[in-house]
Amino acid sequence: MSSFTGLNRTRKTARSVAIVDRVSRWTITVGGIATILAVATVCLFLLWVVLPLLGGGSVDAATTTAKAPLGPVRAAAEDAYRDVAWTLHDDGEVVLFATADGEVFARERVYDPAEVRCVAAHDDVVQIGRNDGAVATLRIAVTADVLDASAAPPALTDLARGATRVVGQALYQRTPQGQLRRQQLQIDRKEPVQLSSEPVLHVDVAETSSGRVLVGVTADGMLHFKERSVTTNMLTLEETVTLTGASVQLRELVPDLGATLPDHVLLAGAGDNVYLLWNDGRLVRIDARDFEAPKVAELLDTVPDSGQVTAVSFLIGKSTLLIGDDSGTVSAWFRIKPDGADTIDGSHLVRARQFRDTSASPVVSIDPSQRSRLFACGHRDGHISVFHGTSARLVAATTLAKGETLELVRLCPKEDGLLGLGAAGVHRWDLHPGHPEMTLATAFLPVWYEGYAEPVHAWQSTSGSDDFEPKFGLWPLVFGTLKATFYCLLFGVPLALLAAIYTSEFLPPRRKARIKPLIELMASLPSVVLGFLAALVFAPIVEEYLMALLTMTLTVPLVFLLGAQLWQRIPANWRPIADRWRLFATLLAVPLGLWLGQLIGPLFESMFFDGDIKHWLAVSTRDPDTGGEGASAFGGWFFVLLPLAGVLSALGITFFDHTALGRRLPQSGLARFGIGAAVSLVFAVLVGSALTGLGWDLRGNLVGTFDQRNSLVVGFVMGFAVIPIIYTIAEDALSAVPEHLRAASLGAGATQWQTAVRIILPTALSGVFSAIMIGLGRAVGETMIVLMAAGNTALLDMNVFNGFRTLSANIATELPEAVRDSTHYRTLYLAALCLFVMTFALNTLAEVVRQRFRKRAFQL
Amino acid sequence: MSTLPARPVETAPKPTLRRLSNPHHSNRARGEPMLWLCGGSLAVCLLMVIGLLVLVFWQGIGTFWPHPVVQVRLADGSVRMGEVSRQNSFQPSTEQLAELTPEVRAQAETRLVDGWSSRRQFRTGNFDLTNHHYYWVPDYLVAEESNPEWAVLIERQTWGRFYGFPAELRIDGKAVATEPSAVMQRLQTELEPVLTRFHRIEAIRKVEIGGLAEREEDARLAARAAELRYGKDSPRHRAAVAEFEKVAADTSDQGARFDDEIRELQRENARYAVLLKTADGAEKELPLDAIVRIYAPNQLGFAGRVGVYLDRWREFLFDSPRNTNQEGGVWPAIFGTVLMTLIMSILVVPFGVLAALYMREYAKAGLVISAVRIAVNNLAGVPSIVFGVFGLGFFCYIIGGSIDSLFYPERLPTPTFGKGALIWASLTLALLTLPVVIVATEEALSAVPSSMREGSYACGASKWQTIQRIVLPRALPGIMTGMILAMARGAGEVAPLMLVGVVKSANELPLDGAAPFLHPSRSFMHLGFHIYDLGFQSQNSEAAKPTVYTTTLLLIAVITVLNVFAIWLRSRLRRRFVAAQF
Repeated sequence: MSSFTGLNRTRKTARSVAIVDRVSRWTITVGGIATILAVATVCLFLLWVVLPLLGGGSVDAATTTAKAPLGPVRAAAEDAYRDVAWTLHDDGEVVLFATADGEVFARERVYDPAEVRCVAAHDDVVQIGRNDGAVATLRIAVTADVLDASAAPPALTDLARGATRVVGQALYQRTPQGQLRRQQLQIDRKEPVQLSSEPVLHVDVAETSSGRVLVGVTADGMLHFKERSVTTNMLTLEETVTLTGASVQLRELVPDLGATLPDHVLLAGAGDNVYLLWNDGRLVRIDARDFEAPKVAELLDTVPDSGQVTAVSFLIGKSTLLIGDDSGTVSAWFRIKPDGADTIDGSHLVRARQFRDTSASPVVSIDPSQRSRLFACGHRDGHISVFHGTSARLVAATTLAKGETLELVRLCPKEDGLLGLGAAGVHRWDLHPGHPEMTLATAFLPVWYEGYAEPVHAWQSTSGSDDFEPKFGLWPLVFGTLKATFYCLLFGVPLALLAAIYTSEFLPPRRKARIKPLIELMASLPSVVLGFLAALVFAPIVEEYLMALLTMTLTVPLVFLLGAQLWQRIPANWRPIADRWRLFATLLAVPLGLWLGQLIGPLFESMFFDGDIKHWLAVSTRDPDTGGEGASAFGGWFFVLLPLAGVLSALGITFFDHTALGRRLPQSGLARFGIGAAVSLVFAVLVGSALTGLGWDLRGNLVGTFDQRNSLVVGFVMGFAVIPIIYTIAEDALSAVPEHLRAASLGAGATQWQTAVRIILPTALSGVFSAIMIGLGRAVGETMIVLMAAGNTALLDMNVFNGFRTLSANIATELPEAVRDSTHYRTLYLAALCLFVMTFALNTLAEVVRQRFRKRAFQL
Repeated sequence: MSTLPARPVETAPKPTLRRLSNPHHSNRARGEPMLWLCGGSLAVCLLMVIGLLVLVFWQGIGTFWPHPVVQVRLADGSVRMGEVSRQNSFQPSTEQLAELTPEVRAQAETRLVDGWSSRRQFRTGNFDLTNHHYYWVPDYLVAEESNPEWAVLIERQTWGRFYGFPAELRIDGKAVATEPSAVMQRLQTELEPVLTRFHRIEAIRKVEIGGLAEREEDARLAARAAELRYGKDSPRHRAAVAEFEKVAADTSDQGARFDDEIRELQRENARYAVLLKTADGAEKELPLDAIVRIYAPNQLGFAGRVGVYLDRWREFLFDSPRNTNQEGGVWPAIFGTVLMTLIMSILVVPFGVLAALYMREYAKAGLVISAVRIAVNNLAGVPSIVFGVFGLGFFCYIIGGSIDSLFYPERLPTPTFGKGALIWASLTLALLTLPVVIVATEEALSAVPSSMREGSYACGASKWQTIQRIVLPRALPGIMTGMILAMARGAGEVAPLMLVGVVKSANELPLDGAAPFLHPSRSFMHLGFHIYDLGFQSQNSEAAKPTVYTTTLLLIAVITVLNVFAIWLRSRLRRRFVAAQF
């Protein structure tokens, strides 16, 4: 192409320059995009960890092993390795077979069917009620032991890794590590317990902390208790076994027993309650804490209308009763202790939830897991569903081939499989339960945990007891986070904004250049330092001088207002000089206010709070223990209403200024100040007494029992972290308002204050708003301060004087101990995701508003 | 136009001079009360900052100053001796007074002023004898007070401080000096070789025996690696096992020799002991090698005090902690903090600059880029603990876990990289501070006037040449500011580090003389976590408080220096660009 000068000069870029340019373009583009993507991974990774929590479990396709008809089966189980399974048949024979090919390799007869009246199986323990009135207990187990190479049978030397082979009455497997594992049947027989001479119809056992309780019903309608308690002598370590027992005639115990004896007899896990259940759904709960004198506690109907009970079982811990009926529904019942229960033991059996899947065919088998609140429920039409007892989630479901009826369903010991006994044989499924105890609902809504009077929000991830159910309700933590944020902003926002207005509008530039960096320096104080000071320095001070500190929040502003009144008296020609020293005057006023607060704090305390505010806080008039005789609620109201009334009367005087009423008021500033103060006092006293008279009390909601680690301290110290952020951004926004607006306003005769409030502040409002939002974001995520100073108890009340547990502090304390990929671990990730989303949303809002503000500021 | 009809002057309408405002209204317009509230808020903020800094500075700087030892005899005859650590006034309760004997009580009541009395907290040490570190002594109980000439303060290896009197110096159980002055004099000469031997023992344990254990462990791991790679009983595995056995035999031989040497040194040290008497007459024999520092505070002149003070600072800055972190120094924590921050900066700056260059110079400005910009800005506001959670799951467990199974299968199940480690902590903090660097760099890049870029292009420079020679040099101070701000933020963060690699006490520094010198897989100590640990995990937080203050002072000093430097750089940068604007 020729140039317009007509001279055709060629300029070629040197090859090396072109190459370097291209290489750098690629490096920067790839590196830049990769960095941005890396940052985006944070959110995606959190989601990726959390998602399995919300996805359900699954069941793999069935493998059917034994095709032969089995005949009626009393009990069955698969062992933990899922290589072998056993079935207990009606004829008293235990059959052990390999699950891979159905090869039967051991049989043992454990009872004579002619002698036996009832068989009750729980997991691998089988209770046999005999015709002669005795109860025999069996444990059917599959033992697994690792053999030495020398002890191995010679036939097994060529067994490949992972392969199994039956030799004699045992199944051998070469593990992937090359060891040889032998599995064989082992049956432990315990000494029979003689109940009476009549045939035993029903029997149930509970292992309690002190021993073992057995309950049985014999054909003559007698209810028998047997307790075998073991006490250990602490010195000699000798064990003493005591056998005690009692019997009672059911018809005497339960007057309206009906024609037949109960169809099911169940004993609660603590051995203190016996449930008698008829197939028509009638349930009698017997209080058996003292089994010498059992009493009927309740009579209930557990199945609606004409439904029939078809299967019964307990969840782990034997507290929750699962009742399956002929409409295919399973309902969970447990005892709660509500206030004002009218039963003899003060508790009620309630139906907490119902489980229902697609099948409407009768429930034939319910099998609870041995390690969690999972249970499997089998329907006659071959449908099997796995539910979680607390979250009520349908974890997985599967169905047998069409037309095949189901007899029995079992969950494998490790919850990794299902065993179903159908008419056509034994079916096995691989089960992946996932995280059944968690759903979004259990994380954020109240959950009705076993034994709780009502659904609650609770976070309790660990505990000492075995039957303990972890509670992963995030709401108390979210609440704690919000509480911390609220109190922090309550203290921080007014201070930071007022300080920003003063810095931007009333400080000479040179002084501003020195003061602003000083406050910004506060932003870089590590929060661990603030936390340490909060917990070890401020918390003890607050505890000791609580009343004085509370009074100071009133006296310091009061001294400022008084100072302003004096300042107004300065003659007009001194004002320009005086204005320059105003900041110094306020600096002096602060200690004066503090001193005043410390002086009159004890006075207030003896006037309004019976001389001891902590004691006043601890006793509420509503507290039933003190019989409503606690100290008067007036002090609290007065204290809260006074500043409120002050603000109101200030606004009121301003408002009425132009009205006839305002003109009649004295015009002197000091006199108006006096009137305002008097009006506020009267208002606070009147409204305070009125509210007290109505019986309302601040204690119990906004204030309450004092705790050394409390929200007041955290709010104050977190203010240190939040104030500089809000201050800097708000000050930047105020200073960014174009100078000509300010000049125009001042030129039109407005005072500096009028300019600041009516021109600058409204223009910069969006910038100020985004400053607050960013401060809020910082407060939400603050970790070290709350970790050290907030007490870390997951409470759900607004009391300023007690602690809380926030999402961030919870993560910091629990995540290092959480097992990788466990529900707990993933729930903590969910907490982190919550924090991420909360702060990201707040910051985005702030950023969008700020950009709008910037655009507007440029337009002006 | 005709003349205006004359009007009588007195009927002319008076010009209504409406007063714009009465003085009180102008008062309202000036809004003095609100101004005072605004100014007062600023004053409160300033006092909060200054008060906090002064508190930390004062408490931190005074921790190591040796105070005189005071001995008081109380009204009930008991004696307390120690340094006065705090002083305040309190109101003794009636129960407290009721416990006293009548005559003491009468005397006490005369000394109370309006029911108030001042009291002093004595740091009495001797925790092994009394189970107390501190005692509060109300002034009304003091019967007699003195500064005993020969009271000595001993800082011990364990059990904290000891306050008492030197009674005897014993060698081989025989007293060689019995007068306090003689004991102290003799101690000066005897202590030196004992401490030399003590440090020699420590060195043998740490360096020599530690080295042996490491050699043996390496050989064991080599054998295990051979087993995993070539199979059990393969020739290579057998060779490695044989090698391991040889090394094990060798190291146990050498280990025995070192043990002998240690025993020899310990036997020599055990000959020396000093017998001490406490203020209330109890006796305590202390082996000399348990002494870290001994001096008689009441005999120290000003120079002597300064000497002790500086020596304690030296110990604090350059020694390892002892007595569960409550005493000794914080050198490993300083080292860990600085090293982690350095690695973090090395990681964060190139990537931050790349991303900023891409966003500012290469990417087409549009909706996507401004969305990305908002997102990056917002990440700066995401709580640091979230980054810690990410670091634990992604870096430690996933990346670290993969590295372990690929490169260190012989060490499993003990994780090498699959746990908290220096490198993961640095990476996590790099990610945390990345937005800071990106935002600062972008600002610096956009502050370079586009006229300069255009001039460069007009001269025929390529894009990269323009960036390299025109834009980057001018943006460099801004980039540096970003880096320093990132370092300041990184050095002060503790919450994420608790998840990804900080420990209470680390035996080995992550940088040492053993190849490969830098050990990125080691855990490390951190000043911030040290504060948390001392203040909250130690059983006696009151006794640990002075140390916490000093550590806090150190941490704030590091961060303040970084910040002040950044602020100074920023203002310099701005001035420069205001001048460069045309």
